[in-house]
Amino acid sequence: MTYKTDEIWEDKWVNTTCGVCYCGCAARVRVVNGVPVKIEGISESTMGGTGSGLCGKGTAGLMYYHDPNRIKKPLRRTNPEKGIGVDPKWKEIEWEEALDEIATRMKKIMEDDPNKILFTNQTMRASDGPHNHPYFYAQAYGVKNNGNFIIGGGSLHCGNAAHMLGGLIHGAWSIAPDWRYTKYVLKWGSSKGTGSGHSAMTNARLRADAVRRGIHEVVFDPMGNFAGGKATEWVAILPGTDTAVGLAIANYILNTRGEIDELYLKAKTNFVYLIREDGTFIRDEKSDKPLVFDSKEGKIKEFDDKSIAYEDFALYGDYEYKGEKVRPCFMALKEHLKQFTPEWASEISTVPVGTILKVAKNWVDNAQIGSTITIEGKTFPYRPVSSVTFRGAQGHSNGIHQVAAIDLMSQLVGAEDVPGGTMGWPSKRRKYPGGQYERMPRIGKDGVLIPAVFYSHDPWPVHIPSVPCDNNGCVNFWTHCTLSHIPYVKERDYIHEKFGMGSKPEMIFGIAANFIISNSDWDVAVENFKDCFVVQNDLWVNETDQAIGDIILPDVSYLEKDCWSSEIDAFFFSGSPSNEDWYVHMQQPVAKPIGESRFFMDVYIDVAHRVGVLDKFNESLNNYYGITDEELKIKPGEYLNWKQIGERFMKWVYGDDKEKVEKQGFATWHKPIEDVYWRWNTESRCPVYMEFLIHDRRAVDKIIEDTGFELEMDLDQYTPMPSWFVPTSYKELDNEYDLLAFSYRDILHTNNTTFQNPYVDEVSKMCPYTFTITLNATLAKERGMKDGDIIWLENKYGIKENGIVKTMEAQSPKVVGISGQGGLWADGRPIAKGKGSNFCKLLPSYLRHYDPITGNIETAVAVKIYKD
Amino acid sequence: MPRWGMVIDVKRCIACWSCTIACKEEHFLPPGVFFNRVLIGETGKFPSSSKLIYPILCNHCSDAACVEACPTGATYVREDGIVAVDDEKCVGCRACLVSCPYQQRTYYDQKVKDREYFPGQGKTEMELIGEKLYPLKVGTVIKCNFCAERVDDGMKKGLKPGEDEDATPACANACPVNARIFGDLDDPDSEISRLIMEKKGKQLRKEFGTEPAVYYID
Repeated sequence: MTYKTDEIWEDKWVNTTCGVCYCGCAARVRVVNGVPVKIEGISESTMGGTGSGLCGKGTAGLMYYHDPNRIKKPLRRTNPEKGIGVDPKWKEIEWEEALDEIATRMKKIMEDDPNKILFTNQTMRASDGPHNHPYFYAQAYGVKNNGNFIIGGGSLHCGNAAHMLGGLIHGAWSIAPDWRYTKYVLKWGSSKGTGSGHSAMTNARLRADAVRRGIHEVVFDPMGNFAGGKATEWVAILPGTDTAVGLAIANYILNTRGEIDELYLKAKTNFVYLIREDGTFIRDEKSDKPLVFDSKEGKIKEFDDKSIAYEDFALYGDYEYKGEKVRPCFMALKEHLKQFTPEWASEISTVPVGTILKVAKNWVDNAQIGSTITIEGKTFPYRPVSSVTFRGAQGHSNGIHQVAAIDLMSQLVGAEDVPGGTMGWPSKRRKYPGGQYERMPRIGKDGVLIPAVFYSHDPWPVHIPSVPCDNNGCVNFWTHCTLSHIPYVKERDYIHEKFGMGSKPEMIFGIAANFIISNSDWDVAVENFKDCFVVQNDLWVNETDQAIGDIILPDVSYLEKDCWSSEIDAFFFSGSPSNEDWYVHMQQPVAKPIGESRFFMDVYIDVAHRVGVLDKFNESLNNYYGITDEELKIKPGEYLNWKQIGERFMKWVYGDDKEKVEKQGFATWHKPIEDVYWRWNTESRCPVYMEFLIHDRRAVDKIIEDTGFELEMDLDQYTPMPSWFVPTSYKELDNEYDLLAFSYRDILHTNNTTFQNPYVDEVSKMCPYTFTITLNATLAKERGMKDGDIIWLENKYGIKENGIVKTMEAQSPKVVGISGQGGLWADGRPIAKGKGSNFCKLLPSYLRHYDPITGNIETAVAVKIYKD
Repeated sequence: MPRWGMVIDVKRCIACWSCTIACKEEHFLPPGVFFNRVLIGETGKFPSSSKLIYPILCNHCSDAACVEACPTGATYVREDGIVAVDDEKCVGCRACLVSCPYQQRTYYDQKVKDREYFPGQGKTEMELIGEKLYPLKVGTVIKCNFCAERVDDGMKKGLKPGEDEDATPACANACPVNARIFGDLDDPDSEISRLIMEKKGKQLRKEFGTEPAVYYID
């Protein structure tokens, strides 16, 4: 067999960025006679796997271009009735008609109240591209803040607590082990390095090398599959109970073993800040700065007083300040942790006492407190232990405490952003040599890092909860939400009424979010959003579009996209978290847009122009990139499409190398070692003692009393130290609803879009777990269930879902596993239709099912299981 | 003359299926046809169970059962160890399908050729151009050929299989975690020879006696 070449007039490779998940790996595409035929990674770039490696779903990404089910013209609903199972009776319309109707409606709403417009965004790049721009695009319309966003993709299962702490501790969106130098890794409900999480293939490549080097990796997870199945040691744990084990380990480190990195705690955390008996900081009356005790001079001083050497900050002791008894908050932590014994944690989590103690001992033994390492001629503290979490552990109604407890063990041994420890993706983006665009974090109030970039909502400084609320998500009250949960909550209207939010949403505009089926109870989502006029830019008609969409605009896939900006601001979770240079990739079109599809950024610009807010958007773009060169700025009255904007802005970002960068499709420049391991080069302190939650609690109590708000919320979670709170799902367990269903990310799938990819579909069918419902083998036997049986899962509210049983040994006998967002039904995606089971619909959407602080949804649910 | 072989590092492998899908793209294989697959299972009992992942492909056996079974000489072992099928000689009797103990062969008939990735919606441009770029002959048996085209073309250009991607099988290039290493089994200094020696590489079901050229390390 040979390649036949006589009919080939074009055979080329085009460099771009993969768009199948949010990781943005380097990718190049072979194009023959204008047809994309193969995708692989780019050997010259560290964005992604080894050499030209790319994961399976990335390799399968070609099908986004070839799918005949892509919409090719704007669609308009003609059936005014909305809902699941209702035929929208689509009619193809012209772009002009679609955009005119959208703009006309928007203008009318804006005359009344722009906060009646909601924007959707999502977390993968098949359609998305410039991640951050949609947020300030919304601001051009007068939308005030992140409360008017609805997220698709991973929805509220993913992120709010992890991102909040990632921001506060690392100035980054996400965390990962420093695979290059670590020796002992704990993963909690996270598959970093084994296929999921940010920079998935970069991490997988680094992890594979680390595994070969001989690291020990312990995975705490309800199932031993993607992460646990590859770990040195998989430890079965019940969902949402990681806090208990984390606190028991912290107690061992601090109180049993007593080996901590005192210098780190004194220099890099707020544990030295003095607190009163009520737990609040004492502050200098004039400067409002928290106070500390200088043990050398025996004086109370401001925390950033340069006369105090790191070693002289007091972690212990009782002092007096203006007649009040005060002490470092570290003392409170030490006492607080004593209650969390391994026996207690074992009872809650099902993790054996011996395992907890063994892991705790190995953690301290491997931390090498006091050791240093010299890399590239620079010496750093060396702490080769890392504790990381993401979607699984943090996605609970106690999410903030889960993440804080998992972080605490790293804090105690100083293993944060130093070689071998837990890394936030570097919080800095230095200028490209010869370019102008740079983003550096700042040090904010109380010495806490303010990330250089953060999507939607800065985690610092914090804001006290207040009412009235002026946005759909009520983020005036729920101030720590990266994206708010309130739009999905069943009692949304009650909350709006009580908290004075008078703007009933009238329109939704955005990008391919499938928010009806990807968060929680579908019926609640339909009820909450069906009265809005819904416009989405999408590749297909997805479930949300079919249920409630009014106008669906055909978007380009990443293979047709010309997006100069796609990775520029992703440095704080994309690229390499380790000691590797900066890489920034562009999305370059490898084929012409399908049908009449248009890149959503160009549609956004067109709509902004029609509505009359384009100048505002352009001005915010100029400001965002910090452009001072008048020739490069977008001028008032100018209408440029995204590519034309890139022509100017690329000059600003890359200087004289603009053309070189465009030609090779990516830019790379050196990342100094101090920017990789930046912790000791930045004068910031981790707010591990979350004192702000005490003030939040007081404000929340007052608002609740003043407004007569009666919905159940676990307000005790507003407490400054990580503590154990029972996730809502456990409160719904009883003799009938006796199992906890949970979901997990399959390496083959990104939320639900990949279900429509026929390459992915056919290998999913060969994977035993992807399209099935997993049960522990012994549990299944007890229930009379076996592989291949169809079973039902039903929650306490009568919502049910069925699927095919696959038994496995490596799963806790108290849980039921479903791989994400299957169970799809949109007519516009026939490959996806009917595949797998949908977990999200089983999640109840009452306010009590959400983390009261960060807005994460409780991603476990009490269910009963039965056969037909 | 080298003898081409592959080491699969199951410790590195994360079962992402990239090898499987990249192979399909490389050879424009129709739905349901796989030269690479990943076997996933588990062993042991809760809570001490562990996951098993075995990416599999043609083992390019030096004492291949398929070669022995082939009545026309269509299936043969090349001098470099690659087990190939000459589709001019293959009569589609499928004796090799039955004889291969690793179930690595597929009979390519009109029905297989007519399959569409989007059933009932016609073949995509990619499927159509694939039939020209990598023509498969109806009525013959097809299988993994260690990307012999890449290896041969690469070597003609002076490239080294296993080191230069343009001379290396697509599945090895596609692996994001470097779990597939291609190279010369007869060269004691090659990376794969070293890995087999150091990590005690094992052939899959060695007892079949066909002398596979694919080794597994963990």
